[in-house]
Amino acid sequence: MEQYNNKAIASLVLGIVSLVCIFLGYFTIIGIVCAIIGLIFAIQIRKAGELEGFKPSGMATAGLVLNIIGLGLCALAFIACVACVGIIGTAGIYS
Amino acid sequence: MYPIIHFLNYSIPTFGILFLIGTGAAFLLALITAKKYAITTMDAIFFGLFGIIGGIIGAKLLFIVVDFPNLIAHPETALIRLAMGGAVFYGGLIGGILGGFFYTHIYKLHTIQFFDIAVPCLALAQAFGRIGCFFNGCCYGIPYEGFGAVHYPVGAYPPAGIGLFPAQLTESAFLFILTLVLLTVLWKSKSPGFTTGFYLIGYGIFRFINEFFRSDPRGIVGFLSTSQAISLIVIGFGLLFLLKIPQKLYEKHLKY
Repeated sequence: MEQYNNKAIASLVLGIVSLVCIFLGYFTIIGIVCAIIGLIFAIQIRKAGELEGFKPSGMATAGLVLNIIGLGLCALAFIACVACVGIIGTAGIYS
Repeated sequence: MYPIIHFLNYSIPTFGILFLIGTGAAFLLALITAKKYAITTMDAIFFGLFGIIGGIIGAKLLFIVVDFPNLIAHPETALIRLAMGGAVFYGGLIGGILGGFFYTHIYKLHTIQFFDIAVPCLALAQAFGRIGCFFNGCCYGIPYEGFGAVHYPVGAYPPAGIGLFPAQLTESAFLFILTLVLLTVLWKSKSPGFTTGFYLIGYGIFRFINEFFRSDPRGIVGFLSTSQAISLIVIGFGLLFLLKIPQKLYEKHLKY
């Protein structure tokens, strides 16, 4: 349980960091990396809760939600239409 | 054409907004499609999230591989180039599939069933993405004056002043219809993998035809466009799914 508590805290912190990174301009990629790591932690905890039969803490749930929002918002400015070009779609549409 | 929406002091790309709306709608649809194979909501959502994570990592990794000579040649701008963007579509596609597969593999779930419930959601997300393309001005069509011709303003990315075929909107409309058809197919199909095959063939054929009505600069493979070459491969994979070959291989070698 102890390791899950630590992971929950880590997930929550990474979620908050990823939300802050939205304002970093070009470096929202740091937010994306944080959100991905935090999301993996949060998913690990929830699946472990399901398989081992314990209720995930509120912190883990908060981490999951914050990381999803962080990933979505950081990716917002980062996504370009990669599907239409087919070969290399370069993003970075800041203006 | 509105490639960027100004909100307070921020400039937000319209494609990004439509992409997020599409992703959200896809996750909501996944809650319904998951009922087909009695998959829990949590598993369906986590599968999607792993797919997205895999997609981002794959797109970025392949970009680094493809762009490695440039990154080495100009180390002073390498960090900015890496941070600013740059993603390779194939990497995202392969990474997304591997991400989803990885999730089902570590938690011992049936991968093919998950692909089946994911394809209608993918089609829906793509449909919204194409509307984003329309606003962005990319993926525009051939010159055409007739019903539904689009005239982009001066200064836009597509050629201004002439009527263009609304290739993005036809694809979007097709994908919305395909979503409904896929939902029906999913509900009626009795063998896992059939819906995936149906999607791959249906989308592959449409994309192949729709490419003839597009005139934006994009890669060429022989006498076909890159997307048409991919479409042929996609159709091939779809046929394999209909013939149940991936399903058999999966049952034999990969399933727990």
